[in-house]
Amino acid sequence: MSTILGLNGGQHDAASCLIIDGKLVACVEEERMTRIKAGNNYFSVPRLSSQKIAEMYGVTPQNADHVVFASEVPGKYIEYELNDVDYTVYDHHHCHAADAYYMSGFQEPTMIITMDGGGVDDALSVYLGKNGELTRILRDKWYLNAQLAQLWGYSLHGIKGFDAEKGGFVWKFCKDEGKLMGMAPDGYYDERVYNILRKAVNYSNLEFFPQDTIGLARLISESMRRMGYFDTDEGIAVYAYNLQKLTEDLVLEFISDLHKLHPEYKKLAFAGGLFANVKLNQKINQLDWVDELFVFPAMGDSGLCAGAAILKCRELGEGFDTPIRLDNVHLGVSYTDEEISEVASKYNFERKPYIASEVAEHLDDGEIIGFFQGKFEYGPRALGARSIIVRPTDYDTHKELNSRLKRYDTMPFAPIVMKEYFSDIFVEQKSQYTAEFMTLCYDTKEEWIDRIPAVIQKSDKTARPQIVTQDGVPKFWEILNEYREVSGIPVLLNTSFNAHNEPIIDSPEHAFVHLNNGIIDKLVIENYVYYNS
Amino acid sequence: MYTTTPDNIKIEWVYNPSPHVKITGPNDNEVFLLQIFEYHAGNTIPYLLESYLIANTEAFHYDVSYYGKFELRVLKFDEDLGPVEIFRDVYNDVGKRVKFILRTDLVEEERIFAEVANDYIKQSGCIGEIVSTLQHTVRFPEVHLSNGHLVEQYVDVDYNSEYYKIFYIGRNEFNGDNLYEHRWGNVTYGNWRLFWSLHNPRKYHNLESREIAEDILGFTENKPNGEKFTVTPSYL
Repeated sequence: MSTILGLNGGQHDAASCLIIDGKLVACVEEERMTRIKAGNNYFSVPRLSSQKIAEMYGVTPQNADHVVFASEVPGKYIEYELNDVDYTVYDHHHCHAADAYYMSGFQEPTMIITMDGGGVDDALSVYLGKNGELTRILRDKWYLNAQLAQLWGYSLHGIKGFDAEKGGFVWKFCKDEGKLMGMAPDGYYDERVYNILRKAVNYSNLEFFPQDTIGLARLISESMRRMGYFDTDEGIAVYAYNLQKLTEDLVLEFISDLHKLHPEYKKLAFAGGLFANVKLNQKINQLDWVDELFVFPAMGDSGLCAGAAILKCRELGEGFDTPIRLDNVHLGVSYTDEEISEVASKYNFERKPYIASEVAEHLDDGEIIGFFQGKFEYGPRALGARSIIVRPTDYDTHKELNSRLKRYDTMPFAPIVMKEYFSDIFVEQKSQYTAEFMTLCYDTKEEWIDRIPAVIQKSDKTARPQIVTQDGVPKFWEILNEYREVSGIPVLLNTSFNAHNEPIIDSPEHAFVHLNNGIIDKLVIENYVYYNS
Repeated sequence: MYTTTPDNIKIEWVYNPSPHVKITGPNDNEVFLLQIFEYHAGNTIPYLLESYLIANTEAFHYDVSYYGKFELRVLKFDEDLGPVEIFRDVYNDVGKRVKFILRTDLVEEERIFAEVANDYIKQSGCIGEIVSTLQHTVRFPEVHLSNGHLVEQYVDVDYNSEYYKIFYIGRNEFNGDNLYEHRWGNVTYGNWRLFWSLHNPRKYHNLESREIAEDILGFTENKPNGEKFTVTPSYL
């Protein structure tokens, strides 16, 4: 058995991971340390994340038994920092597929689909997974085909335009797609806009076309902005709505075509940036023939290092013979009580031991609580390690929370829900495992819409829940249960612990800054609660 | 060369020394999309090389040349229809004046370069002129430059150039890492199949003279089992 260090970098989303004796023990995204969301575009390298892994486990690129790259790591990084290291490079989309399949837990025949803006040569791959083996059956070259992910990404540039003072686009690809998607429910169908977008990306017979999605997306969005279409939020919402509809229509058609070819594959596993689109995932989940779907929690390129390490692990015969399930994705960095106390000593906060029932009372009173526990999460979602939690019962929470976090009012907030009560609140019941990682939306049952308005999308009444299990995220489950005792509601609002446009926080320093700045009322950090006197 | 569309958008373009396109329309606030495609041997579907958004009255120019047959397209945005193609032109040097500048210090290599250039002239139907940078050559009296220096890089755009295209055949220098870092950062990456014929399509160090010339003039892909060459960034 051995140590396998997985690395990826390149354009964005650099990350590092570690497998020891066949078990994935660490996954660290570079953005947590650099504090630049998704990293700098171009030449993003896994320098700090691999250092964190070295600090935690003593495994460095130099002493790891195996070093693997998921392609795209800039050569200068290899040349200057990993000069004497032997390494293996795996294909970008093969790494995405390995993430999706081998973490899905699916023992049945599984169809794996990866779609993104482009990784090295490909933008789309389809695999069949059976008995632990992956077989690729389809791939689209990104420069010969169209990509929905690029249409989303490069629309951002045109919609908000270029800010000369800041020297960059106001909305950036690989960073702000979620903002646009969050506005979609507030828009409406406009046949003209829909058909215009369809000229940039269309689909037929297992092929997305035409070429040059980037250019067409830029021409469309830049022209529409110059014509004044995006002067109001409504105009942006209409664009977003039709882009979302196009995305759903084309991908559903594509998946249905695949299903006709391989009808016995009723489990679906996804990775690649496009599947960060939780509304798309919901539509797929609602297909009658789909038994269950799984979206790898780090569906973007930060997930690639894990895929590369898994592939190496399989080659060595040390693990991942068949798909496994994750208890959680708390695979990042944790801090000791001593480290936390040292940071806290710089402030004049009050401190008392953490008692879940007391914090539940504070939540019921409407306080905004920072929740910092153990190792931080892998992937874009805050899942109980670096979260901000609030009662879900008051729609005005939106305004207050957005104001403190400097976020847009249109961005929806998501619920966390105790697994035991999930079926009471949401309509569909499929794919609950992937919902532990907040990767798809569900329709809300009518009777709950008014009870938890802060976490329900006001236009379409959907929510993007995280199902919390007692075994998977015990402290998160505990606070939920205590809040249920107080309020009768087994749901809390959970949003990522970060201000607008920042990555989710990493360290106690970041957490205490948020408390000091009044973004949160209280900070639950490991076994203590900190607050201003 | 130029053309004017029915809605009064004037498009000027040349292929020499590299694609240059200027678009002038009546709407100051308008932008256009210029796409450059390349035709692979034996394939009727052109592959996108690069595309650029161009503001009205501005010109696209990129100080590189492309290899082989390629195509320019210009699209405008129509409020009702979306992207609409308003111009398309395929590189076609039949009956056009094309100059071949041979860059070598070796007489034997000059002969090989000239043979390949002659093959191109015969196959393409262009009106070819072959000149050489080699001093004291007897084969080609029209020596372009003296002192053994290479031809100065052509930078000024002349929409009325007497040549449809000039090919530089030889061991053209790569511009170090900057060339590819620039490409990585600002040009759609991933199209490693695009070739810059001002520079050599692939590293020439281990190539025969004939291969160098064939690369630049687009013959390589015509080989039955031609090596598929891939331009790899220098930092990889």
